[in-house]
Amino acid sequence: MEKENTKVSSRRDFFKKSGAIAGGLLLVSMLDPLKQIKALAGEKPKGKGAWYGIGVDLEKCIGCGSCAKACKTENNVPKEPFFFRSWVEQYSVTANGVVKVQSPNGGVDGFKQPVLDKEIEKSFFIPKSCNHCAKSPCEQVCPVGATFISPDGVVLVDETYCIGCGYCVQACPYACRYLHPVKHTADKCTLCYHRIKKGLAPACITVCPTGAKIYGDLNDKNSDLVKFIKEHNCTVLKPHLNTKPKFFYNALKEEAE
Amino acid sequence: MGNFENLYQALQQVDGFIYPNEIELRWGILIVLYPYITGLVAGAFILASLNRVFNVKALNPIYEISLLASFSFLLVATMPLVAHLGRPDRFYEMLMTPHFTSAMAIFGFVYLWYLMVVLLLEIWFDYRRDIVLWSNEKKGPVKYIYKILTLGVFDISPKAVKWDEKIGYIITVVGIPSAFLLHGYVGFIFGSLKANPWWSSVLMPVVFLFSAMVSGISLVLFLYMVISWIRKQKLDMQCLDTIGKFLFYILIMDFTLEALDQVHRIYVSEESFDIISILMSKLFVTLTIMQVLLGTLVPVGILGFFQFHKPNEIIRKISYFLVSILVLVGIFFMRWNVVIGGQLFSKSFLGFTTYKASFFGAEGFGIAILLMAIPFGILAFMLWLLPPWKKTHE
Amino acid sequence: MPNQLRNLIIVFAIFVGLFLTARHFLVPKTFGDLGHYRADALQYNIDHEKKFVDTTLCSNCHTDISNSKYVGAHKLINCQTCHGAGNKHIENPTINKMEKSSEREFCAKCHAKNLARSSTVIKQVDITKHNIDSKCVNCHNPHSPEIKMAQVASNQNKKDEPAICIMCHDKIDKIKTKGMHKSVPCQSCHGEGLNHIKSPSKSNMFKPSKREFCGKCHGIGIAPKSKGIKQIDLKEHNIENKCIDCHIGHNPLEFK
Repeated sequence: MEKENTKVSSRRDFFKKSGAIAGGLLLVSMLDPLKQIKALAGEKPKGKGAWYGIGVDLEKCIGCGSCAKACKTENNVPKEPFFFRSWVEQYSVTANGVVKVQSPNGGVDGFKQPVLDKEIEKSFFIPKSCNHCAKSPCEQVCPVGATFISPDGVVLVDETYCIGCGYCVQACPYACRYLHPVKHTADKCTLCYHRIKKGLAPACITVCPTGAKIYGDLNDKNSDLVKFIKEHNCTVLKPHLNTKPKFFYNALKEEAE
Repeated sequence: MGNFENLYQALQQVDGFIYPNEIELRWGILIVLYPYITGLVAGAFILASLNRVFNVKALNPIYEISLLASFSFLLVATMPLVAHLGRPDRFYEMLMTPHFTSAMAIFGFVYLWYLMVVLLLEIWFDYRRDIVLWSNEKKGPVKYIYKILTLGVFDISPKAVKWDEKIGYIITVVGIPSAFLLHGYVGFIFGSLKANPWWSSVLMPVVFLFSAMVSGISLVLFLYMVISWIRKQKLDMQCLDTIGKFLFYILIMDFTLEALDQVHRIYVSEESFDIISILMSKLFVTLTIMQVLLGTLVPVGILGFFQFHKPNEIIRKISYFLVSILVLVGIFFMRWNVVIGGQLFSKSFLGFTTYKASFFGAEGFGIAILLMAIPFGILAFMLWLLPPWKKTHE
Repeated sequence: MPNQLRNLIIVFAIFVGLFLTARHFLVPKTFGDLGHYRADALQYNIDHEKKFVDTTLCSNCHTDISNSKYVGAHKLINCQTCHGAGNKHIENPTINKMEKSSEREFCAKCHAKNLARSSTVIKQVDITKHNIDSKCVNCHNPHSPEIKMAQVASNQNKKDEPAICIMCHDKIDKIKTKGMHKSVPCQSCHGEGLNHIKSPSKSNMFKPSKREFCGKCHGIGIAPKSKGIKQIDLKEHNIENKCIDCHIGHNPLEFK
């Protein structure tokens, strides 16, 4: 697995580099090349300014779906059960290891009290949304630069510039993206960028009744999130894909990784 | 608000668990057409260059047809891509601010390179002398079309014509890697997505390339037979047999590569394998029957038989015609299985959605059929404008 | 250089020129300032209207509710978790009402029994069994779920006041007031309820089911004769069954 990982990343590095060289050559002939070449320099060095991430304590999550519901309201996400920026899944594992997952309407209406099933040995909820990956595959594949990582580490979409090709939807391993049925552009969790930049918590975190979900600045040693990660045994989703997600789960069970 | 009837139906038919955003299958029939058409372009061009660069004389009768077919399909290649966009009006952004880490953005430039620098120029240099001649002979408005096409150069002295030959040759040599690049790139668009185990494969660009050659050769075979039949011209059997021979070899390479890809998948059996094995059984009709059996094994059988024993001309003609159609259909389903198949299963590896396409609508089968018909119209026009059979060959 | 090549290069130069000109006008102004994107898109995202408001705005008007809320188990929960986003309500409180639900299913979203819920994090009830006739808010003050119960407990000396029972069992009261048993106090049949009031789930009330129990009032020769009470011969009247197999205890002239 290790080996495969390095292979994949070196392939991408190669691609990035050769892309950059080809791009550089092309750009020299264009009108204001310097501006573009600066842009190619790539990722912002961590350690300067904020670098946002999210955390969830799954032991505290009660699967009420408040986060999913509030997200739809706050961000004008279409109400139909096909479009979600934030949703909740319930995993149930039987004694012989069969995994059943459900997420009716993304958990927006909550979960029905399950009929008692003696087979089920453990069960848990997982709230999900964009992982705001540091090596975001969706940003990598966007052909026009409509999806980008903000200087503070939030993966955003420029809906005035997105062409709606859906390549990012295909590239996201977590299925966090959808094509907005009215705007016809890609849409996803912004970590409520309009709220956090004004010092407010994202809507999902604002309404969480148990305080299971938090967000914070990974560069700030005193932030809630950094403390949370230090104090808990946190994991991320699909770590083997090397997307460097910044959504940290405490007590994530192996069935859901 | 859009009409969500299809999605509600799909929601009813979800098998197992899929992520809530995955009910809508993002890339439909139009994205199946996109690699299909691009493949035809690359394949037809490579067949043409066999004649020119590798000097396969038997292929002389189809050189111009290959080039013009390649060109006709290339003009249409981006149409399904643009038509499927959520915001087709913003398509130009891909050329204005291409994101160099995106395979899709680079495709715009690969495409332009191929269209402007390779195909157009090769056709132009090949026909230049005839265009100049025709611009003098013809009457009426057509005359002026040819005049414009000369780009103001009327020099057809032997020296100038020799230059045409020379530059044309260089372009063909450049064109072969370009054709590889063009279709390899389309494969890379899918193969580079690590999120999708059905797509993510180093072999994907190579598999796409060989399937492109297979489909392009079949297209030319098909077109040559149909055009000759319309023009009531006798088919050049030596040419047909040569195409058949190349088709046979490349089909075997293509099949071997695809089989290698699958065998590797099965043997390595990564975490995604469970879902993929169910996927393969779900794709029984399009994968096992259409792609493998009818699209590959039957043509390989027929063509292979001809390598050892050549029956009479009638049987061979009918067989070649049949083979060309089978392969064209088979490769269409190969694209289908890649594009649609890759989106049927959830990235959670726990379930499946369904593909519901309507006939009508912006991304329906109606548009797809229309898009597939356009290149034939363009080809008819090109054959009228630049008829290969009226060219002066020395 | 041959003429055809020269002219071709001119044509290409024109194309490239057109492309660069188009690019000059079509690339957005701030594109590339911070990375391969429109830097203005950051502000565009920030400008999105927010819907969930600061809850100090809620307590400014609803002081009493917020006071009671801050002492109970729901004290850390944002008002808008249950009532929805407040942006429209603060603009015009009379026209735009907040969401309000008193359905059992609404409370069940958090409190229904579920293996996936940690019992240390949240109190859960089996909603298929727990006092299914009543709405949660009848017994529990949603802003401070313990309060209403505490009030009941402190009123225990007024134990014969049916109002205490009605607080939780209003549906039964509605049935009862329609029929002959309307003036019979709950205690007459169900007994003293002190323990039940203190801890409803742990101490159940007595639920009579035997024929003899009904016979205490309605049996000929058993009950003290009293005007208006229907008398039945227990030895003859449908001796196979219990009374409550046919009669609804709370409204006996209604049949099941």
